[in-house]
Amino acid sequence: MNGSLDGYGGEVARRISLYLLLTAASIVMLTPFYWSLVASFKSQSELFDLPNVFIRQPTLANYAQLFGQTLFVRWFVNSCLVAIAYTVLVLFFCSLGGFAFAKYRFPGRNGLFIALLSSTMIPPWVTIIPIFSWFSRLHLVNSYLSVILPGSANVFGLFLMRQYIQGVPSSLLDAARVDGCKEFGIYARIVIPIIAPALGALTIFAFLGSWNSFLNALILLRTPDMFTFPVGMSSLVGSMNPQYGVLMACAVISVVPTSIIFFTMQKQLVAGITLGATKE
Amino acid sequence: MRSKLGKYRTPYLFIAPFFVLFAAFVLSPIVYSLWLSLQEVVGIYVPLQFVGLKNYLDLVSDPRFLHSLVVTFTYTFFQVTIMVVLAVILALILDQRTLRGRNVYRLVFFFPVITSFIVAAMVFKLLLDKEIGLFNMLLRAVHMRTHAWLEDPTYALPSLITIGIWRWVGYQMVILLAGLQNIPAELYDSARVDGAGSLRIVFRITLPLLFPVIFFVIVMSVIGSLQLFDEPFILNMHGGGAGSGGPADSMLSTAIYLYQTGFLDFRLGYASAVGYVLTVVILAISLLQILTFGKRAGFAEI
Repeated sequence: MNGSLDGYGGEVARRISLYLLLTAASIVMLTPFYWSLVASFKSQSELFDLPNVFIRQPTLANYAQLFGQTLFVRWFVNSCLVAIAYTVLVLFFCSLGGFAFAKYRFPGRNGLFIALLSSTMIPPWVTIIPIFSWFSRLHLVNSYLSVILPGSANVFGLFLMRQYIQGVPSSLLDAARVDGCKEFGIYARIVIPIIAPALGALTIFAFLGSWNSFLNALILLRTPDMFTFPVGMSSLVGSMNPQYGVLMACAVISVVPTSIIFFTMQKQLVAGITLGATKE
Repeated sequence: MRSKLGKYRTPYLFIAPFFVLFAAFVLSPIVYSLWLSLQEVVGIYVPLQFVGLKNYLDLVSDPRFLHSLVVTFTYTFFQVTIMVVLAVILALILDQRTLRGRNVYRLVFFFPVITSFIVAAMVFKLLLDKEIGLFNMLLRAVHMRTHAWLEDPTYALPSLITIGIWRWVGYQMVILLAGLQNIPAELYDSARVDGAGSLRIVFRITLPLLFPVIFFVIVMSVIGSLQLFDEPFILNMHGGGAGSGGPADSMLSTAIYLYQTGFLDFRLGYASAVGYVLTVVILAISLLQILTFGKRAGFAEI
């Protein structure tokens, strides 16, 4: 660095190089999205014979094939059904359980909570084998239930709810008790409205978690008509002659719901991610 | 007894639905899996045969299992190290209030979080394709040597590491940014008054104060990376095959090996043993990290 870069000039040069660096990094981060979007509008021949960064003759053929010749719509519907049912279960069980852990004293409370938290250290690989084996014996493999129930005891969700409900003033709950409100009424009419923002965050996490979940669905869903979106996609990748254009069309559509959630509920998403990392 | 139960009826009732599911789908599988790992069992409808620690002893001399541990550790070490360094740098840059458009940049780096591993793996499969991939296309344009990134054992694991970094760096950045916001501004001001330069402030004040959050990010990322499965699974699906370890087993993570033994060969006992060894490895590494750096990261206060 020479002397003239000190002071104002140096600051400007530093700024410019910083922006250049950030922009270059952004381009790298966004390239995969760009590439899949472009590929989804290319014909198979353009993709292979005229490899190019841009599209020459945009075509909807890949999307048409995706809708017409694969079980894509079915997978989409399956994923929606599973994700919605899963999210509803998680919201209810976690908020109710979190309320108990946050606002009641009972024997075994701390021990139970520690047991729950330590179970998150155990990888799903340990539980999937027995679950597969039991569901097979119960003839429940290849059912919606088999992909909805196993993950619904969501410890992260319980933890999130407990943290949030701890911040609800107990005097509020006591006042309701004095007015003759039953305990479940306190949960439904007082706690739930107050923790609505946290429920919003949990909704996103549960939905995204289920939408993107692969392992359980891969092992427990057996026939193409029952596949969820990720398993269906993976079956397209695994087919004898994978058609990249169709795959990319599938990838593009699959990020539509998650993008909508991302852009509309970014605040809750970040709040949930940073929970636990920083102490308030 | 009755009155005691009655007194605590409400909280027990409230945790019951959660706990029933937890007992059925987390707790009992964990216990049953341990029991299974002591059995010789091939198939689902076959009787168990108790063999004691045989599966574990077999694992110690199973070259593919040991190789899978090497692959998993290599992946974890490089993916986590590079990702955390990048995430810290990005967070430090994007924390500056005077930086214009910092919210847009944050959004861009965070965006891959919305993709599933499946989509990420699929897209990179195309990006790194030896014929029609963008990466080789660019290399060709500047007359550099191209490679079959995903089919060449030398480059397969580095490619996998790159995908992992791309998918997670923004996520970790967001956590670190939240940590940076908790550092009181007065500390910076007083350091500046004392005449400390920006780089000195970063190393003397910011990074030490951010350490607990960096530590949290590292521990959680290591736990996640040790379970690597989705990406190599998708990258190595072709011609109807599934669950392969890639070229020369270069992407054979321990979780992929577990899938092969459990769900392709149906050796449920052996696969359970693999699962338990993986669990012990994860717990041991986490514990080691906490014992080494936990005090500095403020774990003692919890």
